[in-house]
Amino acid sequence: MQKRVIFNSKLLPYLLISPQILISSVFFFWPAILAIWQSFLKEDAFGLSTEFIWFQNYLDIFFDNNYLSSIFVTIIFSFFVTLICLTASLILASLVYKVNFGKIIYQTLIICPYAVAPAITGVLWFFLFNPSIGFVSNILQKINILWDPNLNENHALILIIVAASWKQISYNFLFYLASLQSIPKSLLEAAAIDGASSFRKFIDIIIPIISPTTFFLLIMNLIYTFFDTFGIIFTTTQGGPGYSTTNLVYKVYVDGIINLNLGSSAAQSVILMIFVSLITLIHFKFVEKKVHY
Amino acid sequence: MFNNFKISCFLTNFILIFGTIIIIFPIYFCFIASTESIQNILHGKIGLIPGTQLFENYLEILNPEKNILPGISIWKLLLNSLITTVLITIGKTVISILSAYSVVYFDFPFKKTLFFLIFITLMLPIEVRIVPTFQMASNLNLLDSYEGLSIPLIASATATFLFRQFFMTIPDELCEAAKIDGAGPLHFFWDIVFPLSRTTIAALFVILFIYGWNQYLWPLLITTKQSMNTIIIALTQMISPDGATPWEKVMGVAIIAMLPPIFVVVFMQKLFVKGLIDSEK
Amino acid sequence: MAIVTLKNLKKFYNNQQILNNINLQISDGEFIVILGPSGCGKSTLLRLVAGLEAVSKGEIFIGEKNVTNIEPKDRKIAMVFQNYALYPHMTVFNNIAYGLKLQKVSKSEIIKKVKFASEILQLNEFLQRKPSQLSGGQRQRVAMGRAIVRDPNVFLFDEPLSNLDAKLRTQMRFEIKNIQKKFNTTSIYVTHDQIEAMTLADRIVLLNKGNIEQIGTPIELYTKPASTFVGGFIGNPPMNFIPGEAILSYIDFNKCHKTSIVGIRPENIKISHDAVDKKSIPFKFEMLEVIGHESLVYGKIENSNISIIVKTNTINNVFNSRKLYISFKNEDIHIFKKEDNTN
Repeated sequence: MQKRVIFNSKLLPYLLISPQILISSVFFFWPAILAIWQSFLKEDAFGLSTEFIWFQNYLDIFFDNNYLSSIFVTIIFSFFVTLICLTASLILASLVYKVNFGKIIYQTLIICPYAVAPAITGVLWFFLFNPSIGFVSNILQKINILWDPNLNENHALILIIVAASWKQISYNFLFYLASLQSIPKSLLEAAAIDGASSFRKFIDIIIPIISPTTFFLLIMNLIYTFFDTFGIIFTTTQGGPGYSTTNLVYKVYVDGIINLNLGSSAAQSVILMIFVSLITLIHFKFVEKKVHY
Repeated sequence: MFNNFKISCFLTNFILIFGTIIIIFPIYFCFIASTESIQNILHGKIGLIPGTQLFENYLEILNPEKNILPGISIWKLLLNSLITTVLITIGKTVISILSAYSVVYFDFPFKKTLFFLIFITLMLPIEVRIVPTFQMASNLNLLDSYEGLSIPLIASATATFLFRQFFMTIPDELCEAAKIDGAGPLHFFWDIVFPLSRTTIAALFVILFIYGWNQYLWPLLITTKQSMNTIIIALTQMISPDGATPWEKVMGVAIIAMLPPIFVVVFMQKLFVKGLIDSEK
Repeated sequence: MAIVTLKNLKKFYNNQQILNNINLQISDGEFIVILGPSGCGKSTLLRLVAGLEAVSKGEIFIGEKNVTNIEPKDRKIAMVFQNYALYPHMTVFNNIAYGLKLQKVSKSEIIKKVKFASEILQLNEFLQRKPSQLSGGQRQRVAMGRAIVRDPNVFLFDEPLSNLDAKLRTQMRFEIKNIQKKFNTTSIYVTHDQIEAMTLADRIVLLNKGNIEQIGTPIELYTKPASTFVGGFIGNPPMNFIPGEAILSYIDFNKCHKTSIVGIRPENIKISHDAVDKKSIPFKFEMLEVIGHESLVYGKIENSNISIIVKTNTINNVFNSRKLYISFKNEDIHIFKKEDNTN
């Protein structure tokens, strides 16, 4: 990572890197350390005394039904959003790649959801699916589906899955399109000479070649559904009904800010930190060592 | 074979148009709703074509005299969002480009350690450390301030990695020629590296603008006063749980809140796409 | 306008020795070419003189001044890079003027100097263009303009013509020589191309794996190579090397022993259909390459595996049999000790 040509200054590099290190220390490392520390504590209702309770918070979490259910919610949520995003965006990207005219128009329209804030995304879909006045709700009622995300847990889950997928399709789409465009034409021509049909070309050549992108998007979608969907959940279902749409990150917020159970919230944060670290390490280990052909 | 071609062409376009319509629909519908009257909305009478209240609704929202939320007009909200976003965008760009420069063009003790520290901030998105970060910020008296809204968000590593990657593509000989010309590290940065980084900075601008403008969880926590609200937060506050929500205005505000990021993405599309793809390599 | 002295220079990089005991004295106004194959250390040597890399051992003097530990910008040198190293976002004018701006030269003085260089290099109409809008040859001239305005004591050239096509290379070679003569500045020029070296140099320094093989004028290196490496490097096609014992019976040369290596240039070998005298060596013909006025004949000494290349006039020689004879004069023979054979 070192260039051959460098400058010899002794003090300057430290000065240049210090703003980032400083801010990272104050707002990243120190809070992370605080979180670890707090996860070992228990505060009483008035915050007057704290008790060091070792791993009790962690144990309590794992026996908490709501926590276990939020793990479950997170898995379902991430799975379906990832599935929908990968398939839909691959289809759209392949078609835009193939189409003869209007590429720019399609691309411009498809990337719009990326610019929409998660919170606004939630509001839009909340409005569309609102049991009393929603456009889609009305249609569903006409075909005798009693749609009510406020009461029906499955409906609530479907709502956040749809909203989250909608927003993330743009991102997946852009990466798949770029990946498709970087496939050397000569490979496809060689396949055509070998007698491959469009379908076979797609399965045997295109999908394997874009597999690094698929792997990358898998990781990014996972991170997205974990961390960038807070706004969506907050504005549509507030994690409800009950805890049925509370994922792990949302639970950190609920326990920490609303229920004021700082120890538990901190412990959950630490668990998430470990999880993210693992994912990031995997990301860098495998993506840096790209699957090359 | 020719017919096959025509059919597949037709199918391609059909699916694309269908897919694109589904994607654009929520935004389009939002616009439609913002042009209707509240009665039509509540009675579920809105269709797929714009209503008649376009001017009335928007004039009402944009009127600086009238407040869409108690105590604050839309212009102040837009201003807050703008200032925050600009601070985040500029702040993040500046500290990242300086860090990347120090890591690429210098060698110093503990360099590997410091770089690693920057790297691990990738593993700590704000949602993971939200509670203690908030405690930290409030201890530093950053509540209800533009600094509080922006500074805690500017130190993550993606921009640093992007610049570092770009700097590695600058030929060594350029630095050598500059050294012979008499340039020290600061001159080299200002006269040569920074101008060459223009496209990277522009691409980053789009990504950071959207990141900053669309923030939700952090501004929610750090602001208590109405006057410091961002437009995104204010929008969500307009929705009242007991049904008295002025939907036509909510939709109008949503459209207004969506416009700046959409403009930035659409008009800087080429740079944006390039920046997004490059940043993940 | 300065003498350059290199004393006992050594350069190590990660425990590998790149340069070993380089001693050289360059006179004022001299055009020195550092020649050698890839990896011989010639670019490293140039960069040591420039100050872009630090010496491991030894000293460098420019004029009276010991510059061994001095920054490049304070050595009064200028360098022309292989890839031009022009600032892509600046106009030609600003590229040339950049160093002067850093030295805080006055604006009027800058304009004067840049115009002067631009005049000599015929860049006047390109001053407001950016490098991407110029051809390779034009870019190279801008790089030279940047060097000229620094008014240096030494010009350094790092394989400046390698990226140009053959025709342009010949033309630029001519221009570089002219400019050097005009300013009479001491110049150090690095290349792997022996034709550039032979045509440009006052003296050549031939490097091999970090060691100086020979220093001399182009003609000296050609006529009196100090080792088989020099003999084999200078001259195209390269010198033929024949083990002494293989042809001892044919040549009557008292300096030649069984253990010597005999060097003979392709252009100095005569080829004939009949044995002229006992000096004629039987030669088995293998292939002929006609290059216009000249031809190259490839073959082997009869009953051996020793390959020989002969350069001959096409018009006078037609080969209609495979059995031929080669001969050469004693004065064209180069004798090398067997230890020299370090190729």
